[in-house]
Amino acid sequence: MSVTKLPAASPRPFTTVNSIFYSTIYSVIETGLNQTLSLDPGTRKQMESLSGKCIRIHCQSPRLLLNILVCEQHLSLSANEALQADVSIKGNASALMKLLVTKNTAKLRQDGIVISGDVGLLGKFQAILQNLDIDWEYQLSKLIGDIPTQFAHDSIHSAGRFAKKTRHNLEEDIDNYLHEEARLFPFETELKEFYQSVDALRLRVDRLKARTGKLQSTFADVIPA
Amino acid sequence: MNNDSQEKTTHFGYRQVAVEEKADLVGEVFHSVAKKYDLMNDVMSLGTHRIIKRFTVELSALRPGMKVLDLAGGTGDFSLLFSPLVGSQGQVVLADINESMVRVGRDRIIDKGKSGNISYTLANAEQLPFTANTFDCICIAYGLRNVTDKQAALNSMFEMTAPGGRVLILEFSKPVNPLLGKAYDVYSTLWPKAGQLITGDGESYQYLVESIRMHPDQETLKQMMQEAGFENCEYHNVMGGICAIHVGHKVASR
Repeated sequence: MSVTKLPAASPRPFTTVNSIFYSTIYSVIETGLNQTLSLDPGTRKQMESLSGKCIRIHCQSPRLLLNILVCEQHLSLSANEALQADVSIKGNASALMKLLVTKNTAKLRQDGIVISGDVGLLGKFQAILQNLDIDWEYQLSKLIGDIPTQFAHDSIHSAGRFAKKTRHNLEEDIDNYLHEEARLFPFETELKEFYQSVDALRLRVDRLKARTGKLQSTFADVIPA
Repeated sequence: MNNDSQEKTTHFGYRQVAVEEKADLVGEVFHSVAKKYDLMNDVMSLGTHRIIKRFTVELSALRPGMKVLDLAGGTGDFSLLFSPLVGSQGQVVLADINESMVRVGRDRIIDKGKSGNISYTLANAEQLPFTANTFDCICIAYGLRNVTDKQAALNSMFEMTAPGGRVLILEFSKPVNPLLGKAYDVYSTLWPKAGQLITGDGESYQYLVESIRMHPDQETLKQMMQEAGFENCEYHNVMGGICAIHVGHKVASR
């Protein structure tokens, strides 16, 4: 884990109209984020170990700058380039979105994402956020009481179970109908056999082609083309 | 405008008053409006002052453990925003020359349950009572306008800024677009009437409107900051220049 100092802020960071606009959006996101964090004391406690660290996300197209500063138990978002970041992620929007959903970090370089600074910090931050476990039931019970919460919990779960079972049944029925009764689609075994025979045919054609080629070259002198 | 003190009179809105009197006159203005100050801000700025404040705090580039001076901090809006940023290891000092404003600010902050890293001081911006090179950031929002000798205040702020630190000045300024300027002029003539309705003191808001017109424009203030010793000075026009945020740095190697 190596810490490299990032270069100082470039001369003119951003236009003011843009950053007031981003400032407003960031303040809304920040509030939501911290509200969510406040529901999980464990994660908040862990977050404290990164206090004072700053992660910068630098999107190149569209041009966007986001600093995530960990201030003890909460996060602060800003768009100020003068804030020294400990680690910075640079890339275009699609690549950054991909980074958000994928866990495969090997292909980052191919996507044009450049990470500079303390990479270990990024890993720690990601790990903490992935462990975010919000105890909804506890929050709900504070709001509406224990017994209604238990009731809500039971009904949500039974509804979930019913939905899952229904979906499973429906899928099976449709599958059966299409294959067995309407015979619109072949079975998997039939398909496999068909593909195999196509492969075999392709091989035979290839062999035949090679053979005619060879014969042609052998008799090229005798028979004029 | 910098030579006001040598002429022994200075402006109080459009009036010329003796230099020693201005602080007291400004004091009276804020004594009478302190309690309804935030409500009036919402009325006058149509609520946009929240966004501007948030943007100013972003420009502060503060992080946990830093020290920040909220000069002319008044009702503590900025201190409340700075406090979580600098964390328990950092320090926020709310300073104001006006006792009523500090009282309102302190009560408000304590009522919100925020304490620990905020302290309160009655201080004159022209002669700040702190050790030199103390603060990583000094922020004066809508305060410089009311200071009698602005250059002295800037000099004093420069002295208190830690090397590598910065100063933020949020203040009314000159609109860039003349059309917007006209509209704003018309709109601001309503403020004394609104002030009369809400705080029962229209005169104070008459002073506010006049003092805004008398305040140096963006480039002049930038020059005054450079004179005080700040480097890499720049300003951000907000709402087409109705407000401007000046940022100046005290470079570490000097």
